[in-house]
Amino acid sequence: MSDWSYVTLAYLVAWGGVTAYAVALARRVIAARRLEQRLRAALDMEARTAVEEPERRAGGNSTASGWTAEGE
Amino acid sequence: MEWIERRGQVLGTAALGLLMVGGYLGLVWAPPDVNQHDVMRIMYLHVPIAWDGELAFGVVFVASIMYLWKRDLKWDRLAAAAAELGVLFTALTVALGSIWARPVWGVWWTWDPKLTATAVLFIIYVGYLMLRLVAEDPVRRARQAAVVGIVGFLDVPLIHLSSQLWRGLHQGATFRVLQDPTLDDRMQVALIVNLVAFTVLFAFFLGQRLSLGRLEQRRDEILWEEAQRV
Repeated sequence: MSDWSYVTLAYLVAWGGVTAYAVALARRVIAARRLEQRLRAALDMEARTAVEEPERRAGGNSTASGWTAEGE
Repeated sequence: MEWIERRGQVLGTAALGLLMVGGYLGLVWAPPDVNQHDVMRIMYLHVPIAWDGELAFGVVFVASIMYLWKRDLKWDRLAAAAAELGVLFTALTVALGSIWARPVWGVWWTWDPKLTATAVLFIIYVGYLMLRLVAEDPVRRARQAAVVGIVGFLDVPLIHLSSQLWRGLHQGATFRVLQDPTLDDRMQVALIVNLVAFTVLFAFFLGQRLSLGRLEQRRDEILWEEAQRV
């Protein structure tokens, strides 16, 4: 192998390694950002459901809804 | 720490530009060495990448001490981010050193004290990353990792002293503080530009890796909140 073959191999290894790490890191950051957003959205939705559900149930048994209880 | 995360675009662009200039200086502008000829050009990568590796482990060392002192997980995040980069750059250092050694020393690898100490450093911090993977409790993980991060760093001065303490093939330092370097001016410029370029690249990677650590911590907090509610 000539001197320049070793130099080329070294530059390929260095740049290849750095590029591969940069791509992997970028993908990990994007994936983590998406997951965090989805989890937060799911948590918000669950919290909203937890507040609305008792209200709906309370509203369903109330005469104010227009329903009349049996025997009245 | 926040500064380095927010300046990602600036650091990334600067690193790319400087690496291109450094590549040109190292491959074209700098003259070949009188003994090693063009193979010496590998040093414009090997030395800056080795510097990045040691810088990374220096950050792990300081961040680990800060964590044990302050007990703030942000220092643990910094140590974890830097350790990952340290392992990457040390692996590249060994690979590039090996490629350089084949035409100059006639072997891909030899158990020279400096090479052996560098390989040990690499193994210590691979172990550090594995330890982080197996420990589940974040506080316990941070404490254990901090101890390994501090003890592991003791190998770094040993790497530098190894070429003076023991006889080996690896040459001593070319740059010494307050002493004239033993390099041609153009070689010196090429090396310094590449050192700056790889330091900026390190800062860019560290910022991005810290962002990832912050996102992962937020994810864990959300899951923890959810587990508490269930």
